[in-house]
Amino acid sequence: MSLRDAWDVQAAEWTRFARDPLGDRWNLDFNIPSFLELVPGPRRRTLDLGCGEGRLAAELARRGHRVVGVDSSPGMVAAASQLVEAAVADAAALPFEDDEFDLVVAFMSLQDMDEPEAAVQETARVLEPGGRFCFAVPHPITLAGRFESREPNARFVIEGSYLLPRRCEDVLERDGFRIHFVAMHRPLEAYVLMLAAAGFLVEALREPRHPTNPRWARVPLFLHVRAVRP
Amino acid sequence: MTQKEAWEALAEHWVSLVRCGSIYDDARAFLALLPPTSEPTLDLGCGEGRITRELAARGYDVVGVDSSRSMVEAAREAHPDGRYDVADAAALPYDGGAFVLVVAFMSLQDMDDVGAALREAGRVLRHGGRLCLAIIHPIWTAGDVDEESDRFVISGSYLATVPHIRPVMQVPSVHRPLEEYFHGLEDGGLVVETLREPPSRKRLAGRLPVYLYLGALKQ
Repeated sequence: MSLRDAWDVQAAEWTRFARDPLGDRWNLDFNIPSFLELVPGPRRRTLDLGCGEGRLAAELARRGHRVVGVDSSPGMVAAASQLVEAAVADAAALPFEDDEFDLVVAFMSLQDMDEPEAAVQETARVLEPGGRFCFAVPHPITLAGRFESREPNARFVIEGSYLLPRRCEDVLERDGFRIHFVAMHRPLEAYVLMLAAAGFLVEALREPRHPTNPRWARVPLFLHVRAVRP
Repeated sequence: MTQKEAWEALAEHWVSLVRCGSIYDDARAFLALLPPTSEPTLDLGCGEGRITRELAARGYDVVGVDSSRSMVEAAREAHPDGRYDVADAAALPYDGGAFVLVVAFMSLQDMDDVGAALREAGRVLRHGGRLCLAIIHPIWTAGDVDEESDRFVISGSYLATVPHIRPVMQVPSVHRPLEEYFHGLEDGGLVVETLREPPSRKRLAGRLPVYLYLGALKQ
């Protein structure tokens, strides 16, 4: 099953999880606030690439961005449309003119795309010169390995390869939620090379440390990048 | 002891180690990434000068700089026609925009203040100039290879900045998360054009990156 279909079939459950205060705590409490520190303020128009059920786009709209979200999943876009302007579109073939945006964000979506290289090329096309592309992905270290236990000083172990791209699957079941996470692991180099191929320059890179969880204060859960289109 | 003092104390031993063998087989792959230029180039943290000599042989107009007096003396001895200065990377004795290329090969991870070194690298580069650096990959210095199970294990913290002894040479170094290097690049007005994560050929069969090469542009 393609990554696109794997997420589309659980759009309803994902929406419930993402919007429940007991649901997606990692993103709500930690990942979104630290990602937003990297995101420039509103100017002309902002695109949320792989917007999912739309929570990040909604937050950007609250902060004054004129934002439109796109996602390949009709179920996700139906949910996002309750919050912001959103459209069903393939990130690899965006329904926008050249230079239409000054900011594109991709929050936890590039790793779930079947063709991220094409999506980054399209991002460069729809960005005006000087426009910014900000993205968050699971940190490549984290997708390459795992903690041996939930103890604060648990060892983090990489059994396979950090350097080889690989499809990762994980099922989260708690508090009545069931989410089947599917994503591609890629080394950092792969992300930078896809940016470079589209003409982007990397301005900033962050590896936010979790403020309270001792394991995720040792190994970065997320990777945040801001790039500029010259 | 600071990194600077540790390396000065180690200079004689280091020179004999480096000059008797091919410590850095991978230097060749890194050098291939450098943009060719006949304009002024700086070798930042040149040590005993083997990269400076190599760059000079390849036609670069290169100056080597290192904080260790003994290292620079050894570099001058091996390359009497070369230009070498003793200076701290955090306070370079060059004008702003003096260079079009700054090369830092396996030196930044051994410096006391990498943020200041990267700011200075940015300052001495002219607009449109490039910084090309190689460091030990922060993933590699965050953990250890468990030979028995053929796994890579992080027992401590990737996200901490802590002293690290480079295992092959037993030389003093510092582990820093990659983010710390990026803060320095940002402060130096440098944006990243490319990044490579070459693996070790010998250990863990190329599954983990041992080096990190990065090319940045002075805006």
